[in-house]
Amino acid sequence: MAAAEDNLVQQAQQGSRQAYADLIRRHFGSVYMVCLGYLGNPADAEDTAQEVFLKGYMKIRTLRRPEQFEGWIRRIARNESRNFLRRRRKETSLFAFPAEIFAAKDCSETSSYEELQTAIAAMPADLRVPLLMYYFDGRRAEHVARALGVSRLSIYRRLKEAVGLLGEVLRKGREG
Amino acid sequence: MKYICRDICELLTERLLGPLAPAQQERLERHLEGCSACRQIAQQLEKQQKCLEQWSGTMRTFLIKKGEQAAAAFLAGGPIRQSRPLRWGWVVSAAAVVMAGAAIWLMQPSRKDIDFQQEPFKRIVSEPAPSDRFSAVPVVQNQNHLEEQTKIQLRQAQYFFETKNIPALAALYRAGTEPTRLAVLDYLAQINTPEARRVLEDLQKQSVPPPPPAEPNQHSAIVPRADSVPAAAEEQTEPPAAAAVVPARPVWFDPNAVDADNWRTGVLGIQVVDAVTGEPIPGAELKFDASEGISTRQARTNQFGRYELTISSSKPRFFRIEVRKKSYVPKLLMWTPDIHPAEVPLQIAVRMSPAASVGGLVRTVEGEPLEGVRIRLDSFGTAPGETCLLEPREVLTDHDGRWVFHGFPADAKENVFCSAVHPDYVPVERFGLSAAPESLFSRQFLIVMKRAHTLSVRVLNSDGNPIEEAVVWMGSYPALLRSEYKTDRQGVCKISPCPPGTAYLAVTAEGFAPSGQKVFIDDSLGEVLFELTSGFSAVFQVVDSRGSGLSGVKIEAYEWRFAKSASEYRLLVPFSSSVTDAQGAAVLKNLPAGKVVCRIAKRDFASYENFCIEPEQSSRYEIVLLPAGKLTGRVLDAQTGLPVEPFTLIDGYDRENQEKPVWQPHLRKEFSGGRYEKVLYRQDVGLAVRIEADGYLPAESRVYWNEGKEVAEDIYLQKDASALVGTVMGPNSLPVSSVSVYIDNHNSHFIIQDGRILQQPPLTHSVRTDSEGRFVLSAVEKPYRLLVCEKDGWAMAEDSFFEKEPVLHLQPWSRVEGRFFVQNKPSPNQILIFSCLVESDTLQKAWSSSYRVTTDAQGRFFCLRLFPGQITISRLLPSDEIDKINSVQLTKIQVEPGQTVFIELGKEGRRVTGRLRLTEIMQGRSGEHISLSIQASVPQAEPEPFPDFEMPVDSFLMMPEEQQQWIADLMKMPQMKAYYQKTDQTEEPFLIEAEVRADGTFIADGVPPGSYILSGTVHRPGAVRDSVEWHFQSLGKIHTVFEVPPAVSEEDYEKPVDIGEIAVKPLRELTRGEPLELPAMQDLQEHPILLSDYTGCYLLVDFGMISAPYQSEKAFEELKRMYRLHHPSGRLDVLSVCLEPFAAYERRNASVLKALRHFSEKKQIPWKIGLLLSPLDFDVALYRTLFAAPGPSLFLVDPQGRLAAMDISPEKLEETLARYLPAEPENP
Repeated sequence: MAAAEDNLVQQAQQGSRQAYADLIRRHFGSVYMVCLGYLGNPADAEDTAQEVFLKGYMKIRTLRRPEQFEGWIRRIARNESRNFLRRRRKETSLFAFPAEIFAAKDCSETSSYEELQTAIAAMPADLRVPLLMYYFDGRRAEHVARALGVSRLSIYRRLKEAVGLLGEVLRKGREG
Repeated sequence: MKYICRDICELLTERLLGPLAPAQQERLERHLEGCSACRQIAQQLEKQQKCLEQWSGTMRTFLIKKGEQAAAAFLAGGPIRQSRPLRWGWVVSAAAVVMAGAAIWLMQPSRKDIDFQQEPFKRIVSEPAPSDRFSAVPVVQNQNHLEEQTKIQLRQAQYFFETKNIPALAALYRAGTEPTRLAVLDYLAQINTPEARRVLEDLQKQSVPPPPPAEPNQHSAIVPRADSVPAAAEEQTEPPAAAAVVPARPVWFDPNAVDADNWRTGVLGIQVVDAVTGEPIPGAELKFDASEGISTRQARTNQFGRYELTISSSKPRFFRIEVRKKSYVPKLLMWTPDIHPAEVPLQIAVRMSPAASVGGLVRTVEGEPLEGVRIRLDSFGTAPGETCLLEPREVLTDHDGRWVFHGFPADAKENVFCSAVHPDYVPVERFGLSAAPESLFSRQFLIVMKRAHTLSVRVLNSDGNPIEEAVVWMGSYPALLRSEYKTDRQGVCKISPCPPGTAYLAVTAEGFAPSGQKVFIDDSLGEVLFELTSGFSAVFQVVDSRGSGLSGVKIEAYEWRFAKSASEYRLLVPFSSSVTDAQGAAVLKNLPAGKVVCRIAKRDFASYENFCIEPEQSSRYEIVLLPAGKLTGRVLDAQTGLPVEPFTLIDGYDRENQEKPVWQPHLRKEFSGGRYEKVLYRQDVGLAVRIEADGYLPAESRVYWNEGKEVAEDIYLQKDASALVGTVMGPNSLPVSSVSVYIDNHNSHFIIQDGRILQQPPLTHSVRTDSEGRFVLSAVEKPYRLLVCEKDGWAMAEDSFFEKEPVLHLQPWSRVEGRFFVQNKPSPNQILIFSCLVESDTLQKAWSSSYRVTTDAQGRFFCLRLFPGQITISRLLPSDEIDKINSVQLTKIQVEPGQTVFIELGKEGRRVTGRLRLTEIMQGRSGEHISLSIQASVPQAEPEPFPDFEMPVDSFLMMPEEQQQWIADLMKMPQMKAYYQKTDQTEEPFLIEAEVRADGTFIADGVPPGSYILSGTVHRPGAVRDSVEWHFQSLGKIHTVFEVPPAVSEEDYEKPVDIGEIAVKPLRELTRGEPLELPAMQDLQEHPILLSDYTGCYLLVDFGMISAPYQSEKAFEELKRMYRLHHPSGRLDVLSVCLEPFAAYERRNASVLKALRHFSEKKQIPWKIGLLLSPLDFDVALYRTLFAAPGPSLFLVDPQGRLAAMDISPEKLEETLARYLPAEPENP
C-alpha cells in the first residue's frame, strides 16, 4: 500500500482533492484515535481530527517526503490535540468512548466496556494514547512510535505499563 | 534467575503484547501450574485482552465510517458534522485557485512525467460514501454541480487548446468559472501565436468578474445565464447582443416538458441547446431525412437556436435529423419503425454535448508502446433514438502508443466501447473494451495487445492429394465459427492474425464429409492437417400420418457433434441438404461420423428442428410429419365468464418433454376480441401459453404437443385482489424517490452487477417510486419478494415481512478495495470477480451479485457496491476461449453493511509448472481433453460413520418405486440429514485450473505457498455410450501432492515452481482373457468369498440383479434356469453381488443382512450372494466396465479364473453359455 499512498500524497500536493479525500479515508481512524487519546471526548476528538486534516491539506505541499505522510499527519494530530488542551487549560476529567460503539450489535458485554472505559480514563495521557493507538492500529508498535515521534522501545515500555495498569485498575475495581 | 510472582506478572503483560520467547513461555507455564494467584491474574488479563480486542473491532468499523463521512464532506466542501460551523468551505474555495493551476498542469499532454502509473482512485473518491448520499444538503449538491460544470469546461478548454481554437477559448473564458479562466489564460500563453497573445492581453485587461456561483437553493441542474456568451465560440460573427435578447426563459419550449396539446400541425419545432448549460445554440447545421412530407433537406438554427420545419405529413414513418455544430459532438436523432418506433413529436429538443478531447495508451503484453494501432470509439446513444456521432471513426496510435480523439462529449458519463486493431496483434474488437469516460479524459485508458500468430491449414483427400477451394472455418468457440478462408491449389490456407490459445477448426469441401479439430495456437504449432473422406450417407423416408410418402420436404444437416455427446465439439456449419422426391425419399450424403443434427421441414407441417441421426450406425430413417396443429381458445373472466380484452400472450416452449415451459417474454403478443390462436409449428417442441391482462393475475396453460389437429382451451383469469403499496426509505428514514422496485414470484434469477440489476428477469415486474418514495404494484401470487437495487443502497423484503411493515429500508452497499499482485508485483489489467449470494429463506433461488473489476496500472481495484456478507473473490485467467472461464478463487471475505474493506490479494502467489507423462495413455492420438486443477491439501478428516438405519426386511423385494420412496423417507430422518449436512459441509477448496498444452506441460498462476493436491482426468471424447458421460470415458487420472515454498527473494517470484514430471494413472476397462480380480466381499453368513472357491468350473458373476433398478423377474428366472441346467454337473456356479450402496458401506448393519437373507429365501436363490466390503471405486477396471453397461451385467469367468465373456445380457445368456458349455453327450 505504501507506493499507492505516495502517489496519493503526490497528487494531493498537486491539488487533487480526491486524492486527499482518499488520504482522509485511510487515516481518519488513527488521527481520531490520537485525538481521542489526548482529549478523552469523542466530540472534541472528531472536531480536532477535522482540524488536523484541514491543516494537513493546507500544508501538504510542505511535506517533502510523501512516504512520511502517516507519521506527519499524526504528529499534527498530537500537536493539535495539545493546543486544544492548552486552549481549554485543563485536561478533560472524564474519558469516554464514542456512544456509537455501544450501540453496535456485537457489543454484548456493555458492563465490561464501561469498566474498561473507566480504567482507560484513569490513565495518564502518555500511557493512554499509545494504548489506544496500539489497539486500534493493528497492534503495530512501530506505527505508534512513528506517530508519536518516540522510539519503539519507549513505546513498548509505555504499552507494557499501560496494560499492566489497566489490569491493576480492573482488579481494584472488582475488589472494591 | 528465579521467577517470583512479580516477574511473572510482567511476563503476563508482555505476553499480551506479543508472543514470548520459547524459554520464557515455558517458564511462565511452569509457574502458572503451581501458582493459583498468578493463574487468576492471567485469567483476568486474558479477559481484559478479549474485551479490548472486541472493542477495537467495533471501534474500527466506527472509525472507517467516520473516515468515509469526513472524506465525503471534504469533497463536498461542506461540514462534517451539521452542528459545527462550516469548515471545509473556505479552504475549498481558497484552494480552488491552486487546484485549477494544478489541473492545468496535470492536463498538459506534453508533460513527460504523466504516465499511466499515476492514475489515482478516481472513481472511488468521486462517489461520496453511500451513507452520506441521502443526507446531502442542497448546498452540497450545488457545489457538486459547480464542480461538474468546471470539470466539463476544463475538458472543453483542453480540447480548444489542442485544436488551437483561440476564439472558442476566449468565449469559454467569458463564460467559465474561475478555474476555467485560469486554465484558459494558461493555454493561451502556451499557444503563443500573435493572435493568442492579443486575445490574452485583451482578456487580462477586461478582467470580467466571474459569473456568480449558483444560488444555494436552486436545485435545477441547468442554470441558464442570460448574460453569458454561448460556449460555441466561433459564433463571433453573431453579435453578442443576440444572447442578450434571449428572454428570461431562454429556450423556446421546455425540452423537459413537451406539451402535446400545443402542437401546430404541419410544423415541426426544433430547438438545439447546449446539453450542459441548457443554452440555445444558434447556427447549428440541420440535415433532415424523412419517408414523406418534407421538402427542406438542410437548414440552420436561428439566433435562438431554433428552426421550424414545415412538414406536409404529420406522422412520417421514418424521420431523421442530423445536427452539427463546430465545438459540439454531432448528434443524430431517428424515428424509425425498427430502431425507435415512437411517433415523431412535433417539438424536438436536441441537446448537443460540447466536444472534448480524450485519449489513451496501447501497450504490448511486455509493456512496450505500440504504434499504428487503429482505435475506434463506438458512437453511443444518449436517449432512445438519439446517438452521439463520434467522428472520425478511427484514430492511430503514435510511436509512444498514445492516441488522441477530438470530438468526444465533454459531459459523457456512460462507458464507451473502444476497439483496437493492429495487423500483427490479436484485435481487441467484437465488443471491444468498455472505457470509463474518466479514464479517457485523463488519457490513461490502457489497452494491452497480445501478439498474434499465423495458422497454416492443409486439406488433403484420403489419397493424400490436395483439395482446392475447401472452406476452413475457425473460431474460439465451436458453435461460432467464421468462414473466411479457402484453400489454394496446394490445399493450403493461411489464417492471420490468430490469437494464441485454443481454437476450433472445421473444414468443409464439396463431396467430402466435414472434419474438425481443436488446436492450441502458439509458436510451436506447425501446419494443421485435415484428411477428408467421403463420409457416410443417410436415407430418409418421410411419410404423412396415413403412411404415404411426402414430397418436397427439406432435410438439412446443420449441426454436427463429431465427438458425440461432448458438446464442446458442436460445430454449426451447414454441410449437407436434400429434398424428398415424390415417394418421400431423400438421401443426405457426405455426413461425418458422430451425431448429426438435421432440420426437417415442409410448409404447413410441424417441423423437426433438432432431429439427431448417427449415420455411422444407422443409415435409414423414417419420419412422420404431421400438419401443424393449432392451439386456440377464449380468455375469460373467472367470476363473470365474460371475455377479457385486450390481453397479452407469452409463448412458453418445452423442448425436453419436461411439462415445464420456458417462457419467452420477448415473444409477447397483444390479442383483442377475447380469443387467442397459436400454431403448433414444431413437432419436437411443446407449446404453452401464458396470458396477462391488466387487473388480473396471470394464467398459464399446460404444455401442448402437435398432434396435427386443432386443440381448444379456454383460459380463465382471476381478478387481481389488491395492489401492494409500500414506501422505500433511505438510511436516514427519509423516503427515496425515483428508484425501481422489483417484484418476483417465479424464483427469477436476478443478476446484479455493480449494484444494478443488469436485465429485468422475465416475468418480474417493476415500478418506480414517486416523489414521496411510494410505489404501487399489482398483486402477485405468494410467495413473492421485493427488491430494490440502487446506486445508493439496496433493500429486500419477502411477502411475510412486507405485509407486516410495507416499508423497504435501503441499506448501504459494502465496499472492497485493494491491490492485486502476481509474482509479488502489483499486476495491472487483471480481471477480478467479486461475487456474493443473497440467500432467501422462503424462495429457492438466491440472487447472485457479481462485480467484475480490472486492476489499474498499479494493480489496484475497487468495488463500490457489494451485498454485505460473504464475498468470494476470484481472478479470471486470460483465456481465448469464450466458453471456458478459468477462474482462480483467491479468497473469501466477510463484509459488513456499509463497511469498506482493504485487502491485498495474491501477494504471495507463485507460478507452478510441470509436465504430465501422457505417452502411455495417449498412444499418439490427439484431441483428448485434459482437465487439471490444483487444490489446497486439507488434512483428511476421519470419515463420518454412516448413521445406523433400519432397512425394511422386504426392501430387496420392493418395486423400484417403492424402494425409491423408502430411500426418500430414510433421507428425511434427522440422523441422515445430519450425516449429509456434515459430509456436504466440506468447505469449497481453493481451486486453480491449470492450462494444459497438447504436449502435457501445464501452468498455473498465483498459487500461494502451501501444500496442494494436483488432480485431473484425461478424457477421450467419442468413446462415450449414451447417458454415461465423462465419468466412464476417462483414460487416465492424475493425482499427486506438491508443496509451494514461500518465495524468499524477489527473484524467486520470477522463477516458477517446477513440480516436474507427473505420471498419469491409466484408467481402463476389462478385456477378455484377463484374470478377473473379485472385490473383497462376504456372503450372507459373513464368510469371505474368494474366486479360488470356484476354480474348476465356470462362474457367472451377476452384478446388479439384486439392486432394484435392474431387477427383472424374467432375467432372474433365466439365470435360475441356466443354474439348474449346468450346476448339477458341477460345470457352472453363480455369484450375485449386491451393489446396494447402503449394504456396501454398512455390511455390518444387521437389518441389511436380514433383508438380503429374506430376499434369498423368498426368491429361493440357491447360490451365494456377496456383499461388498468397500465402497465402489470407479478407478477400478471392473467397475468401469460394469457401469458402462446400461443394465444388469453378467460376467462369465472360466475355470482358470479368466474373463471369458463380459456384459452378457439375460436374453443372450443361454446362447453365450452354449458356446462355453456344450451340451453333454447323453449318458447311454
